[in-house]
Amino acid sequence: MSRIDPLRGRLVRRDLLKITGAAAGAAALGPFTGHGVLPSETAFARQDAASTIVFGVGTDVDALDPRTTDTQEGYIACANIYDCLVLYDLGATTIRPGLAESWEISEDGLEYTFNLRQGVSFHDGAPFNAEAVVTWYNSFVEGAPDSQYDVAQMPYVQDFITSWIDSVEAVDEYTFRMMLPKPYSPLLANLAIPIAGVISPTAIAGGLEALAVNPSGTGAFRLARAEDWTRDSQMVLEANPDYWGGAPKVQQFILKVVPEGSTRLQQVETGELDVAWALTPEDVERARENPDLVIVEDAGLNTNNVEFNVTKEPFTSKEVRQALNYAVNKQELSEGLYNGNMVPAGGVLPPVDWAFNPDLQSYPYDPDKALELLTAAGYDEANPLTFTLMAYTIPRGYNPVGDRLATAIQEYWAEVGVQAEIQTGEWTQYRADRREGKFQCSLSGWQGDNGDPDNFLYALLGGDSKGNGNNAFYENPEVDALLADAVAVSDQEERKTIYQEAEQLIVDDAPWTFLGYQKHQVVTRANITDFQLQPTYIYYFAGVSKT
Amino acid sequence: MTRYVARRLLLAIPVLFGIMTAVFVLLQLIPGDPAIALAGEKGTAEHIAQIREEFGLNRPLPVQYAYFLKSAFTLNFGDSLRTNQPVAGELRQFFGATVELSAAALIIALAVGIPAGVVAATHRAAPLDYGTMMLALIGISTPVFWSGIVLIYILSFRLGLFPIGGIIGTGIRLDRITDAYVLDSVLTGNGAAFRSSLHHLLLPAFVLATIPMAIVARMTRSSMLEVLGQDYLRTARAKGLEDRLVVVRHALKNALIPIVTAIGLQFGSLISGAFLTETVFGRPGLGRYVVAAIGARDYPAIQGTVLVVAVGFVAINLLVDVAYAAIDPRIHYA
Repeated sequence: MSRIDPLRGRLVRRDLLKITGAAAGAAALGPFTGHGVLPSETAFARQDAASTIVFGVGTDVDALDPRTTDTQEGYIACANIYDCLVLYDLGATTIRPGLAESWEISEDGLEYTFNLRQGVSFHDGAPFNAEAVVTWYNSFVEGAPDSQYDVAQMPYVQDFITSWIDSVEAVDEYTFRMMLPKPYSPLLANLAIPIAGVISPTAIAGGLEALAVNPSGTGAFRLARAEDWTRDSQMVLEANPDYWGGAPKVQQFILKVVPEGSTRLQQVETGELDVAWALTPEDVERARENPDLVIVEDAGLNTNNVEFNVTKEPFTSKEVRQALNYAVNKQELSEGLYNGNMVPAGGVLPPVDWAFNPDLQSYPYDPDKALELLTAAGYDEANPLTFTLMAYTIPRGYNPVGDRLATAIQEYWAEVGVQAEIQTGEWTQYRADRREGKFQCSLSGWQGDNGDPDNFLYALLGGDSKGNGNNAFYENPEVDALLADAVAVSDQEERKTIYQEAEQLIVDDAPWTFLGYQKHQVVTRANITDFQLQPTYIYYFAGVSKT
Repeated sequence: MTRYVARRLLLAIPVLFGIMTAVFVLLQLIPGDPAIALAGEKGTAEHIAQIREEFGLNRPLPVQYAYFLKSAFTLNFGDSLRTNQPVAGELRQFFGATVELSAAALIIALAVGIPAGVVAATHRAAPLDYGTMMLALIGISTPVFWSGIVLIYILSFRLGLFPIGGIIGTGIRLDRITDAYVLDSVLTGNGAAFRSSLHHLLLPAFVLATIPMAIVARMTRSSMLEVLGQDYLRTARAKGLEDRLVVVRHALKNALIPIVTAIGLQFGSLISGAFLTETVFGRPGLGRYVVAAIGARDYPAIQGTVLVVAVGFVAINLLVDVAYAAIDPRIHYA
């Protein structure tokens, strides 16, 4: 799903600060340099700073309706205001009970029965029960009674929820059931995405427009009054003392909008913010040197790659695709271009995914092997391989250096005699052209939605996904059969084996140049404890405390 | 006078019409499809087609244009495609903050620029003149995003004199009436919010003021120099008037007309500067709103913002023209 890119448009000014700000500051303020930073008055303005956590974000939340929000910031806010039937384990993509205390999946994988938590109320006082879950579910089913479905506003509920489900029912007051047309084992992972946050029936009745600014869930934090959200400035959420998972450790959770990445870091340094995300690699390095700050990081749930259109010359040749993989030194790329913040990739699935295969056979840096394969494919100095490499120009979460990546790849390929001409495109048009198969070869990437391997392998390389996520137009019947098998079984270990087999086949076919996974990094002050990175780029703040 | 104002208001209609047409054409020309933007990075082809249908993006351009104009002239822009809230309400919410920043900047620009120009003119060719004009030159040539970042680094981050950004202290609650924060905290008698919002306003307002301040200072200087050479000032001095009185009452008042014109023309750059300043200082306002809207191809929001700014620009220019009559009784409009 599309997120407002956390790193968009900050590099230029960041660099400017580095050049101008640092020089001017150092020249003018010799005596003041060092970490003699004074907290500004705003740090004292909060009633009780120890009971408040302030999270700095680059762009504001768009809407507090889980069904319609389309920004990562919105996901984070909703993950703390609403609960899903199931939740992600802390720091993982595996599933734990949420509003459903337990669940059973029928033998044939077609019935999911959820035993709901009792004694839970929504923030507006409405009771949580199976009837409420049915009302919530129907609110985003196209054509259901009292449906509020709107394709422009709810672009993901079909993809992730409703298209996998035939019907739902309230079995009794605290039992809710979903009936599936065919087995689909990633469903639970989908139901843990914040878009599946269960909303109060009273709030739903108020309509989409009202709900977007007056949320009511069962979550650990609540928006006490609509005025507590000052758009593009700050959103003050209050702890829900009756939270079923135990009252949050802090009284307030504030999302503060600080558009400039370097300013966000400055505010964490002065203590105005407790936690900040979406920092450039340079800012992360600066934060690393500061003993008052902690970098919380893992290899992100994403992939950064070059996509070959396998239906277009010269990429119909597997030798060519493999050669271009051997030609790129990913380790060097990671250190040189990404300050070490990219984990080099062997294949598609990132190390944080539960089906990650550490023994995958991939493409080590081997220019000689690349030359050999190119020669076998009929290319040499007299007849060099030439094509157009399309690049986007904006920083993306999975590639914060935008089009500089294309230049680096071009140079690696040039070393084995390949002449790639770089062309750039405006982002929305770029996406559209890529879907329509207009490019020979293009920079690509993906941020995972639910942590399920299906969300990478099927979404990006399944035959059915061609022209949607699969813009390599790759299709391998053997892979497709495995991917279909993998969603029909529910045992995770069994699924893992199938996915690893499918991934190995894909890697052998080399529809991409597999580059790496951009690290997921968040900066916190050292006195923040129990902050957990969720691989899906959301954070649950209920258990986070400040000492 | 009334007839003049009425005529000017009527003339504003084709101007606004032209602006809206230009906006429509530009929106068509920029690459990127709103349906794709709305469907999200992972939206399917089917969703994109549905969205195109829902928002009439597959209708012929003249029909889209007619709808576009209709919404502009009925001031009914509909809901923002991005936030799902009525655009009119969002504009109102951000307009107050942007106007407050611009107004504060204008006040600073006048309060510093006019006296500086007068001092430079009365000390012509003296070090004070050169110094002031040198500062003015620096002011004109420094873009706000540069001076903003440098001043935040020095005054806020290093010295802690001002907050690093934002519009009000974290966690401070303020009931909003006009959405101009300082004004609202006065209106609601909220002392903590007043101190905090004023503190947050000073640095960005100063940064935004640098360019108009410099222009006003230079205009004032040259206009004053012209007036100071006039015969009637020699007469005023000859009849023994105090020098200060001569400069302020006789010279400055007559020198003001071109300065007022300059201020009117500065309004446009003040607004565009406010957009940049809002981003650098992380303040909510129309600028950041429209930038986010452009990124999301949120047509209703873009259209609404452009119209509000265009109307503001036309209105300010009208006010400036009317102000001539107030300053110079010799000017009559018919």
